[in-house]
Amino acid sequence: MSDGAPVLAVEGLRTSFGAVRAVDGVSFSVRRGETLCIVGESGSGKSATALSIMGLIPRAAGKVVDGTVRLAGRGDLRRLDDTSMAEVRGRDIGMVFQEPMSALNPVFRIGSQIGEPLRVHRGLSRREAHERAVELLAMVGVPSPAQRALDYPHQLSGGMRQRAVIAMAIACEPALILADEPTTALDVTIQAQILALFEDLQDRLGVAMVFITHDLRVVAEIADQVCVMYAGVVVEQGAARDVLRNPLHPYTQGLLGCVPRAGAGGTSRRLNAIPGTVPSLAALPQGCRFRSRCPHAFARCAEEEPPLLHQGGDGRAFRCWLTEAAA
Amino acid sequence: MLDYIAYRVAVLIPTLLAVSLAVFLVLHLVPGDPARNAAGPDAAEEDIELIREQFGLDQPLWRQYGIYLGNIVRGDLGESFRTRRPVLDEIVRRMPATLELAGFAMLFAVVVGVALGVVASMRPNSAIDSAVNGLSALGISAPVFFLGLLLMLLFSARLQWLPPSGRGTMAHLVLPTITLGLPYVATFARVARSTMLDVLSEDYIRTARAKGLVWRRVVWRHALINAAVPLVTLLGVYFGRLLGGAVIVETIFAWPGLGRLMVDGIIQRDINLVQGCILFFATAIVLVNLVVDLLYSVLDPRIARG
Ligand SMILES: Nc1ncnc2c1ncn2[C@@H]1O[C@H](COP(=O)(O)OP(=O)(O)O)[C@@H](O)[C@H]1O
Ligand code: SF4
Ligand SMILES: [Mg+2]
Repeated sequence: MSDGAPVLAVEGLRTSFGAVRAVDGVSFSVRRGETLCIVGESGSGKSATALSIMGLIPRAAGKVVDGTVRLAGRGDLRRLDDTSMAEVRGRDIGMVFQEPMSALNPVFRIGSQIGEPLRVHRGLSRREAHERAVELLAMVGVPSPAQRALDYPHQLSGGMRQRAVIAMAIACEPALILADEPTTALDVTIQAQILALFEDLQDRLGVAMVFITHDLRVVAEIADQVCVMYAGVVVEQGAARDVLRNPLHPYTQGLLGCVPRAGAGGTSRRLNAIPGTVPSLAALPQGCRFRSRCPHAFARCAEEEPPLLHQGGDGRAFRCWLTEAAA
Repeated sequence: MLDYIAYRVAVLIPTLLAVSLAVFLVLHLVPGDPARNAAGPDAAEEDIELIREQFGLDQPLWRQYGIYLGNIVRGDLGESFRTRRPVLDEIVRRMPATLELAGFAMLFAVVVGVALGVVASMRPNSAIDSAVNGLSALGISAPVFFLGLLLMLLFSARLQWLPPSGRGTMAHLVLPTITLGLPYVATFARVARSTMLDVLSEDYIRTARAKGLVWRRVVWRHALINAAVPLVTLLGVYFGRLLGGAVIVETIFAWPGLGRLMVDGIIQRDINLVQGCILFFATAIVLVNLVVDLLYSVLDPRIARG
């Protein structure tokens, strides 16, 4: 399924909002046709990671301070000037956001918003862009796309709006789709539909996808690779199948303990069911960031932060002293 | 939509009725004798009595108001005590000058003010932003009267670039427009800046950037339209104040408009004329606010009126 050089390779990414080190040395890569899930509790730095890749960290609030973001054929995005970066956005990377209700501009028609990247990047005329927008709406499963294209955002349901945002993200056939919790704000039934749409689109378009979620069921369903983030760092990463079946980090183990087994019935609990809270990113404790919540913490965990330890050759890695001690 | 307009126009009637009553009472209850004033300083007692009868000033107040209202309905605002010409004619004759001045001043305020505010919002806390901030603080605090005289001294008396008074050419329009509009440039700049900063933090702005639009296009296309509704509201609010300012500016620059007509009327206790002018101003303000309301539904598709 995955082959060749990575479409996106992030190395040592660090992003700070003042004293808050929201992303503190994150590395991963994703290849064509592959889905990488970034999973973690709220506040672990997932959105900051996505926005750093896009160069959309608000200037007044924070900045990317270190690392490289290599996109196939474009080099390190951090080295691009504003104009070149604008060319990359929407054309090489399509982004889908969490809040479909507020992600669309209320004063423009759906069709014109979907067609806009085509006009800007491909130089399509207003008419051509509109026609293409209708096709894209059909492609993402919006019924009566010709009429919907003429609607304003407030006339559409949340699920339909999210489909419109997805249509906008894939308009220029980007090599990479970046989706930041695109189903979190939706009803459960709609969530399943949107997730199915992402899977379907990826099959058809063969893009690389970075899919951010805090829902492990989503990971189980769509991920090829997974990065588990905690307090700004990746605590465990590797092939989704391996990580889900055999989690090495106590945090991942905790998360998985919270997901009911298939067929067990009942509502699923979310990630935050691990007791305790994420430490303040502005004043991180010495040693392991997960220490205050870790059932296995021992003396060394308070002294030194564990490095990301690689295991095997397939990108499997984790950040814990315990497993090293056991190994 | 048509129903809505009809409804709004119908609502105009009680508003204007209230205005006319208030103006009528104020003008008739302030001390002084309009008939004596109209007759002139050396007039005989009989002449004054005659004028009093002629204009119905000898009737009880409620009766006078009734007659006045009846006349207004027939489009008759009465005669000027002084010139004996129909007030409506006087107003129509002076109206273009005032509309010209107010229109240009508003245009100046909106275009320059919004442009400055938007530019400031594009780079908050930059040098440009601080400059706009300082300028608008000055603009808001400078009294119109002082500003007008200052501009006149500088550009007419000293540099002799522009005529100091009167109406006729575009050059005549420059100083009165700037004097009248400048405080509103400042207001629009401030509100445009803060509204734009709010809009620029919206999720859909991030979406627009994620599509690959350059910052300029995001600001001027995606953000400005969303900031327009509050700015248009301001237009409605400030139009009334601007007309008030026009009275002062017309006096400073000898601009032959309604404001000066009204000031002259007040000085001469020409009640009919003053009433007519104020009714005109009130109608203009109410109508502008109606247009502003209708503009909302054009600007924001979420405000739909069936
Ligand atoms: N615009 C911002 N200004 C200040 N701090 C921010 C901003 N965006 C995110 N942060 C901080 O960065 C950290 C990570 O946030 P985020 O990436 O949104 O987490 P997640 O998406 O995993 O929920 C949080 O502590 C948050 O407070
Ligand atoms: S390093 Fe220590 S505290 Fe951190 S996860 Fe491992 S055992 Fe727990
Ligand atoms: Mg987030």
